[in-house]
Amino acid sequence: MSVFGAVMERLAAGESPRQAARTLAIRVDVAQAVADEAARMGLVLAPAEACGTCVPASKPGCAGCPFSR
Amino acid sequence: MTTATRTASVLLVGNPNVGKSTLFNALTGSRQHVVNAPGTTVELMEGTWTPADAPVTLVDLPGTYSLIARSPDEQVAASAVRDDAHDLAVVVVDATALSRSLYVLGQVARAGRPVVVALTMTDLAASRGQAPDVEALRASLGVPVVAVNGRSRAGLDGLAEAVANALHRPTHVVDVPPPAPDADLEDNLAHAQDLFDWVERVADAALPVDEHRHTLTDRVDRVLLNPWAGVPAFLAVVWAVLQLTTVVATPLMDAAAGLIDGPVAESVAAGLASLGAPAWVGSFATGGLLAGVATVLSFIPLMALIFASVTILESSGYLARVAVVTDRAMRAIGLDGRAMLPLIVGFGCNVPAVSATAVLPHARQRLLTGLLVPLTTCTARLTVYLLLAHAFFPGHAGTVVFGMYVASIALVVLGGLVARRTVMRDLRPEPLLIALPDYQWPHLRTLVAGVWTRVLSFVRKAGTVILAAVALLWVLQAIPVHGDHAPTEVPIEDSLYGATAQAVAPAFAPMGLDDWRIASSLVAGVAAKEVVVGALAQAYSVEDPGDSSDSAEATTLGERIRATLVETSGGSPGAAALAFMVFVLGYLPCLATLAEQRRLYGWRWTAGAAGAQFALAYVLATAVFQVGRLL
Repeated sequence: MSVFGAVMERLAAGESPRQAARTLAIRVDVAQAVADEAARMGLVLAPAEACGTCVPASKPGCAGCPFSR
Repeated sequence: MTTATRTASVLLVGNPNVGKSTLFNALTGSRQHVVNAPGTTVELMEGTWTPADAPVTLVDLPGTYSLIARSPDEQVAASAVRDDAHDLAVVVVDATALSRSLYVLGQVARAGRPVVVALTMTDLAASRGQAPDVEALRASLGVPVVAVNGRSRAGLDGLAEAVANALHRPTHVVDVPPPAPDADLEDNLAHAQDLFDWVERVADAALPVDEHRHTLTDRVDRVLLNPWAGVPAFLAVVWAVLQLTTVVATPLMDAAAGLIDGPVAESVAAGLASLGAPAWVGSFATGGLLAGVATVLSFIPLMALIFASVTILESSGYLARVAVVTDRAMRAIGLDGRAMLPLIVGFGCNVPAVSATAVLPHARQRLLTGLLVPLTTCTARLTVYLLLAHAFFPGHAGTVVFGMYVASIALVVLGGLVARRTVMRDLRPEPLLIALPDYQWPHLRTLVAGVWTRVLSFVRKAGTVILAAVALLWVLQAIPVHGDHAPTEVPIEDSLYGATAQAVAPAFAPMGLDDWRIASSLVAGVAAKEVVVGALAQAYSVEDPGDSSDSAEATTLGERIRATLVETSGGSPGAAALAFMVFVLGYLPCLATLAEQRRLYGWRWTAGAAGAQFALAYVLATAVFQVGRLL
């Protein structure tokens, strides 16, 4: 399996890029680069996309919602 | 290749924060200026550098980790690399993160650009025992590799010589996977796989073996990402946050509401009377507007604490873990993992959560998730829970509110399971993929700014809605439908508002809530859940205490509601309060959510789901009261 595929498999198992690097015995920055490139391709959610939807800038939001301006 | 009449163009490419701009300044000195990238508003630094006998134009491109751009800045970098007008790319490679830099280097090479490598941060990499072998790197890449330091100017002469030579005899990276055409996702994926394998080979040749040390993040994640410990840990965190916020916020909320209801209301009434304002103005100001203002202000401390908690959990990296843990739990019961994100967002506000279902790849998944979102209890409903929990369960308010969140999760799971076994049998669960960040301490400035922004937004937006609704209710209470009354002297039962509420109220008798004020707040809450508490405050404030034996001794809104439920529940006010909360949790989405659902899924699904939700909430609330009164 390619490095890319192996890292994706570990991310799917709930590991962080750093943990994936250790599990696969590869360099941390390789795993981070895979995660970043996969996010650019729309295959992986970046943390900000995962939990940042309720930040003040999110649109649309209901009239009374303090989480969405 | 350059000619006598054309100045060569050299690009400076690399990841962010690798010392690219420092190198640019060192090479160009004062011979630099700002230009706009063609057709964009992105600003670039361009300068003149003379590596040998002829000057070249040096362009400092925005830093990027990939040529698959995610921002206008990155798009400028990607376009420039693919533009044949440039003769050479100096790729700035960070020795402390060699593989990340090599990936961009590989992409630049695949674009067909001749390359020279400027290796930075070598001293830092050496201090970590991870210094790359420059000779090995040069051999693997087949292009000049020069270690440089922009600050000390070390290696700049070598870089100049390499660039001058490469401009006359272009140097291309060897063995890099062939260039990717403008391709679809599958092709991009295949090329990324090839390129990462190449990065690994080059890095293995140039770097010592990487030692993987266990970090604090690893140790914490061992617990928080464990399938069995993660969910209880998450629930414990939610409970702690709610407990903390309710305990700390209660006295502040009471003080704010007491201030407005008492001295401020009395001063306003006296001031208006002294100015000779008509009686209805004083009534509107104190019974309508001030009741709404008190409601908004009383919730500011609470919302600030909630926002601070959310910001801390978010910026520490914990919320991303919650998505992973809950994803696993949802998949275990057969629901799609990626649906977790919109559902988590729903606990903030249902409307963006419904919109967020657009990230799901299949229409049926979007539909199911979007219909489950209203069962997540948004922050607007939290205001109702807090009011009732403090009034009826003062020693256990945090736990009661926590229970409502657990009930909300249970309803989502139940709804999902029922749908998966009936109308959504064709769905197949797919995993959620998140690149988890390392844990970090939240920055105080970010925290304060985030809380301030959200509180301000709450005051502006929720405050506006609540004030408008309370003012509208006051007007409805001034319109007589029976008898002949002046606007400010309409007995509530003779007003349009009171008559409607009284007509609806008996429907709530099975829940122990047969009271016009309760009924009216629930009707008003269909518009927006924030209005429920405001409508209650307004209904109790306009009522003549002399006509209401149940609230004659009560002073706070919570005490007045308690006095009402003692009567309507036949002596089981706690059970009625729980039924009230359960009904508010489920009965109907707010109008904004319904509108968004109708836009995305059509009115049939929206109406059907709303009807089912109302029936579910009615049955559950009735069951809670009927069982609760027996205990």
